[in-house]
Amino acid sequence: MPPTGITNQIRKLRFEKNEMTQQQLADAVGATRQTIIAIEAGKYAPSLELAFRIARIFSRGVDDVFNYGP
Amino acid sequence: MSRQERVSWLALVVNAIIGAVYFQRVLSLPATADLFGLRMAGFAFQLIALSIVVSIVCELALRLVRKGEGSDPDRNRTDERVTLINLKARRNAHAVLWAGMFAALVQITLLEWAQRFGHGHSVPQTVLGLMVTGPLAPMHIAQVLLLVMTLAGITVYASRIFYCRRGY
Repeated sequence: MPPTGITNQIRKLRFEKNEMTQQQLADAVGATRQTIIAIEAGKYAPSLELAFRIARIFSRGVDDVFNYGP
Repeated sequence: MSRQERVSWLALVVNAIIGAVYFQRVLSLPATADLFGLRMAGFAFQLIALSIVVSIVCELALRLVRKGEGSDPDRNRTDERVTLINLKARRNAHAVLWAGMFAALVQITLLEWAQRFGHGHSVPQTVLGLMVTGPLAPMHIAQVLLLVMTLAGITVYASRIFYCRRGY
């Protein structure tokens, strides 16, 4: 379980979306690559707004991208 | 390493070096030294020059590192995590500042009480000894406050590095 308690499917979804790079995702959502790295590793829990923006890039719901649970 | 982390390292190194040189010199001065004198002014100008030289050297070193990594698209970008890191770093610095100010006030009060209730002072040899045993002049109190502010500044940069490494 990551430190934030939130797991995510970002890495998998990036590869499904034409092997999108972390930098491309960061540019698309207006974040830095370091932030995307931290989110993917579960070290940083994004704000609701950023979570929605990331989910929108993959045309998914927030629930499909992020999961919370012990 | 992100740009924010590099800049924080640069600022941390410069602050630590300048702070160490300044306080090592000032605190080891004889207790009777004139802290308002021309020699102190000259020393202050030397420190300013040293800080510029150290900044340039560190900046060149960072550019050498960056050269091998290509351009950084996030160079001027700020996002919520960066903002959060800055806020947490400032919170830590505020705690250090508050604790330092409180400790300084306690020390000043204790020295004043010791003087009022007639406890004799040992004769201090250095400015550092003077700060411990008193009596304090306004310039000595200013040095204590400057030390606290320097520590708070170092805390900001050290905290940024810590949070960048940890993730947030």
